[in-house]
Amino acid sequence: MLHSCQNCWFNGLQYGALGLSVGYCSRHQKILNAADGTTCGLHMRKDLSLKRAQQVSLIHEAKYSKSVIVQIYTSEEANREVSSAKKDVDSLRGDSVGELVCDYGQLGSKIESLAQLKTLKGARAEVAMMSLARGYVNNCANRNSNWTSGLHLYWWTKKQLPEIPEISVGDIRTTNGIQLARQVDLTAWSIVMLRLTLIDDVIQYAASCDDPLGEANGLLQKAAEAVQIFNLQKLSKWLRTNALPTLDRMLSYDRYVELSNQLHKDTNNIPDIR
Amino acid sequence: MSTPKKWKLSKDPLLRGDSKSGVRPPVPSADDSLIRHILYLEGPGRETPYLSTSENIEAADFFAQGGIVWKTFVKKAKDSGIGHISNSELLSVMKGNGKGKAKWDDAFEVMQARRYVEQWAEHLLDFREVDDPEKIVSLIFEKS
Repeated sequence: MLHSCQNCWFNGLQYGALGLSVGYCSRHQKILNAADGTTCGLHMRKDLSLKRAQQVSLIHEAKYSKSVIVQIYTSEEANREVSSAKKDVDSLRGDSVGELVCDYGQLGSKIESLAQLKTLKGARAEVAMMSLARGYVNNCANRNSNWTSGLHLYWWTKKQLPEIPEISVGDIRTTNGIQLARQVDLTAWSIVMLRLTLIDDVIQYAASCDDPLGEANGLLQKAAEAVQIFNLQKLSKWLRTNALPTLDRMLSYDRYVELSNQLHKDTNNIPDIR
Repeated sequence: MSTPKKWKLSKDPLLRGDSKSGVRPPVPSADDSLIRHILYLEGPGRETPYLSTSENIEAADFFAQGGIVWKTFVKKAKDSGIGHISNSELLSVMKGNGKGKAKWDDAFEVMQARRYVEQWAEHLLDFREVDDPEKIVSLIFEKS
């Protein structure tokens, strides 16, 4: 169900086989009890690059309403499949990632919530941060046409890029009949590529502002061409020896500090997208 | 310690989750890119000459989403003039920029499609040479 809520930027709690048994939509602020079978017109696919996700979303929004979550097969409004009941939300808040995802956009700035997710350990927290970050960066770029709103998210994600995600058995919500160890490997690959996808998103926005970082375009494709099987060690090595040097050439630490200082001096640059 | 039984083409079924009323027939003349089909880029209602099936009941059940699981066999499909693109064939052509009908300009998308083919233990039934897909579909599929 690639066009279902589980594969959407705005659901930080699930991605493919990874996640909790329920999702959470940060746009509709509802718990998703059956995220593999629901969708809405706001859907943005997590597994695709920015340009392709935008293309696909145009097809999707022509078919589904943005204002309601529906069952995919019946196109009827989802009722039992979603919940915003306090007791359900309280239950979800019992999970540390679930709590931050529920609070996203509700308490202070969104970037603060993303920073808190970054401090949590584990693959689920990382997926939550990256999923919501894709929506955040896109929203900022559309509102103020300034790619540097994603500067810190880019930098945090770049630091993590070649690390092999640690996925525990409790992080996997389904095996779909394949062996657990293989599901873990495929899921870990998808997380590493989600990091690169978020980085690529920021690169695309930087390119549209004629920033030198935009010249690092194409890393997603280069990674997939260089490592054509799901071998995480090889992918990690390629990212360390090829992707990181390219990214560091286009945006050095000194320039990161400089841009970061500019960002904080000009408070108008801090987007209010609550 | 036991390992799970390997799926056998000669005796194990291909399974598909679809609506209770039947398997939706494909469109033989539609765009036949394998990556486009597997990545589901046009979403629901899209036209495709392929039907996705799985070796695994868990995957088929997942796709049923309120519908039911249907089954057929490779021999039965082939006897009705339908092509079978096996899981191993799909995986073999989905590397780099892909080969044959899996050729695609975005290697990242080829890898994502490859991941789904493996995760869902996917096989495709190829209807490109079929004249009456509706009739053939009802002939070869039965309730699992």
